[in-house]
Amino acid sequence: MDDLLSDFIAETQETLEALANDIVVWERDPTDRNRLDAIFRFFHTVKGSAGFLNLPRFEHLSHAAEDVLSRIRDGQAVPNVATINAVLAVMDRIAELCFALGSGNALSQEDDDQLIDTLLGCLEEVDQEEESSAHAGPVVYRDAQGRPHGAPRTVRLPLSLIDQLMNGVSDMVLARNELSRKLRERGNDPDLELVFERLSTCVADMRDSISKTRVQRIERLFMAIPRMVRDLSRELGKRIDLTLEGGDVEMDREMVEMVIDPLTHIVRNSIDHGIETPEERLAAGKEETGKLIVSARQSGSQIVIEIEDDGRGVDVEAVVRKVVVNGAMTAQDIVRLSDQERLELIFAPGLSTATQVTAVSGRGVGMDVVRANIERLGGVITLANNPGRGLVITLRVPLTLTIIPGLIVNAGGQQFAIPRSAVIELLHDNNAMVRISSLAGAEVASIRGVRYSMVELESVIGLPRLEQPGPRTLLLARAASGEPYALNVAAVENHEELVIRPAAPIVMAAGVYAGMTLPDNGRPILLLDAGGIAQVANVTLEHESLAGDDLSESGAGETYSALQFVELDGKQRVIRLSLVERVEDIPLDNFDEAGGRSFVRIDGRILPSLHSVTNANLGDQPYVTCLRLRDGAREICYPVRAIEDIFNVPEVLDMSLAYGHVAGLSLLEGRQVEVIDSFALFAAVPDEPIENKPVRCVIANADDGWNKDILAPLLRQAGYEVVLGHEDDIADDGRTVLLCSDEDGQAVAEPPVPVIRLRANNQASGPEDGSIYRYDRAALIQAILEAGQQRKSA
Amino acid sequence: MNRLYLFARIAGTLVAIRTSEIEAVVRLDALSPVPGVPAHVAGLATLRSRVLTVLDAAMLIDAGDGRRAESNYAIVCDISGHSYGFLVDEVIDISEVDLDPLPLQGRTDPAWQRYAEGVILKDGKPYLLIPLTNFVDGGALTQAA
Repeated sequence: MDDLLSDFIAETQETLEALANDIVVWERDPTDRNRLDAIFRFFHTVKGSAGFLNLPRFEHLSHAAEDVLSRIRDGQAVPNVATINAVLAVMDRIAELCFALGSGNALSQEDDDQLIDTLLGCLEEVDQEEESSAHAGPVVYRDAQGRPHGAPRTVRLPLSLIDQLMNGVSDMVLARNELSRKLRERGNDPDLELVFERLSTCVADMRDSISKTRVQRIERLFMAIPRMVRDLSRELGKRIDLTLEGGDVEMDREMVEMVIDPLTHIVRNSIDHGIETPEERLAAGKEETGKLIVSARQSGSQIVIEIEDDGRGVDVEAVVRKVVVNGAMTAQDIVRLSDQERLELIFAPGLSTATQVTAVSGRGVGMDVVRANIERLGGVITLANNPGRGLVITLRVPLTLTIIPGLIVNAGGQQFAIPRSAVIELLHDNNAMVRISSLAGAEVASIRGVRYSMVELESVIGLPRLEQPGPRTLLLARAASGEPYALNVAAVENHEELVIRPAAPIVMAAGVYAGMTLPDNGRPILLLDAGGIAQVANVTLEHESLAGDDLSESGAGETYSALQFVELDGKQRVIRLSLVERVEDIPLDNFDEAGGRSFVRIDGRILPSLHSVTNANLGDQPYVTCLRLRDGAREICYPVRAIEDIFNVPEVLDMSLAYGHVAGLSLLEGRQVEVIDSFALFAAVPDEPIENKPVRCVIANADDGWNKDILAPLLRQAGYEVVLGHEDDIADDGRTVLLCSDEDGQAVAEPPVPVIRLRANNQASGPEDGSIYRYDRAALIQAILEAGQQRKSA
Repeated sequence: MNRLYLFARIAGTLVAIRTSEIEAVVRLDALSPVPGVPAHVAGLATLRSRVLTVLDAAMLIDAGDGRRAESNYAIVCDISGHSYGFLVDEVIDISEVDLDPLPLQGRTDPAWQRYAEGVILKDGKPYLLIPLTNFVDGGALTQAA
């Protein structure tokens, strides 16, 4: 609508300008039918458009003028000065209204009627007087100054002309560069150089201005949205409040074309999957009407388009399930992903989160296509999910398709360009942070401990790898999807603003090029497609492929910092560094054992120690190095022999091998080390307040050999205080459990403490037999635990 | 009907090309090679601010025997929005021929058959009529095959 209106304003102003001359000619010769027709047509057009655009004042004015002119045309009246003045006044008013409309000001209503009255009055006068008007009227010179300023003056040009201009300017730039080279060869001539400088500046300015002709207000991108929202919301029975912001941002016309589809798709998705029906929204405690905000703004050399809705957001779990069901990833892979990575699985190919295919979206063309399209433009798409509250999708696209910042790289003696947006980092291959290894032809670059597939550009495009004195360069490149990879090139030579042109299909068919560019030296350069290279090189950019092979490098995708230490028994192990609160030397004397568990006194507190420490472990050393670990709430002490180093350890174990508090093995610099299972570690230390005294087990018949030699040691080993005693010893101190065998169990008729009865027979004598088979260790320990808890809660 | 033809030699064979297809014939000095593409893509060249994709039709015709164009003259044309240069051995003439193209007769070399549209007789000598687009499209076909 706005577009139509601005077109209307622009057109009206243009015609008014052209007509000013016609009016003058017509006034001189009222019989000039062509001029009269032209003026009549103008008012007729304005009337028609105004009616369509619902601009009653325009309509009113032009209707009156049309009326008067048609009577003149029909010969019912002859124009006089007053008529022409009145017509001009009406035209002026229309121009004023245009200006007001364009700038948002208002004019008073009364004047219109006055003008119309004057106009119609003139006609009556004409009727009566039949006065000749063969002389020039007083208002004839209507120069540009008289035209109201405000809306910029525009002309419409064919695109081909603009492209021609653009090419012309490019030619000019090339010619200038050649001239510059020639001048340099000739040697110094300050005068000439000065002139050349001036020429250069002019050419550069020209280039800038011409590039501006290619831009277009982003409004065009937004034009289709209101209608779509209206139609879709009606179809789906949803209520949506649409806000469009930043329509005046300008971007490359071609870019606008390319963004339309992805944007449409995203808006569609938001309406279809994101925003709920009014009932659902009420149930979720939201307003019935959903909000959809599409905004655009310029940020540096990028245009940022945000599509924000307050719908249900992305159900990440559903996405994950879908991906697993699809078989694209396994559940184990999923576990290793961060929340954001899981969210970004909605970009996985062939994924639609809609549980059923609706008429609107979910036809299999998914977000993967959207992302691919945006990335093809050198753009980035990001998601901010707020489950239940909404989703914000941000598109960042470069201002223009045709000029992008790029790096010029050299491989096999030839130059190539690569968009800077595709490059995350540049490193020399002799950098200390980089380690390159190869196995069975697969090359892997570890950069700061993170492993990336490495691709040598020469080998992908079939160029010889030339010997060179210096180090080669690694570009950490971002493919369209998946992990970054390291692109190995001979050198990065330069970085330049590149004017990108499409390459011929046969060149594009190679799959590694995104286009070509003509740098200032006039030698064409091919633009590399980072994603395409990865595909052609067939490097796997997935996590699992890296984790699976057993190259002896640290790191496979995600890593964490881990502390390597030597256990008291000499084994090397690593533990997640973030768990270690501090490392401390603690005197051996501070270690103690009670109830089968080890404790250590630190800073006047008693902490559980993971295992006991004896002299045998340490030799003569009077101190024990201890890791103090904290899981957030609890603290435990982990005595070790020595601390070794800190490494980056992959999240994924090279071999999962859980026993005790070891989770498995990881390879660190070619050695295998055991990785501590932090979960098991803390789980192994019972979550009891240490102040709580352990359960005391009183064994009823101390004379019994089995009790004394088998049961008592078992209980002690399990951490219980054992009293081999007599029934008399039983005192209800709140922590005593009595154990008796079935033979001697009857000794205490009414024990004041819980009793656990043991029987020698494997089989229970009957359903009401509550005794425990005496070799059923698990049941026995369980019974003691339960008894202890009963005591506590009692 | 445009009767004006450019007569040239490509891969040793006399060919006729409709001048309506041709924008210019230029001499190309330096070609930037394009690695990783079929061999008949000789490289890229600059023609003022345009970048030409230069094809060596000889490589396309005699695929395998490594025959290359004998000159660095190229016929420049625009095919579906891209500028191409076709290297030729030699440009012979430009002249009008009033006769309609004749059908291919005899056993045309299969390498040429897919590109040729007919035969133009000039001064009693036959020239294969080649629409240049066939080199691009046909090239794509071989590529896919």
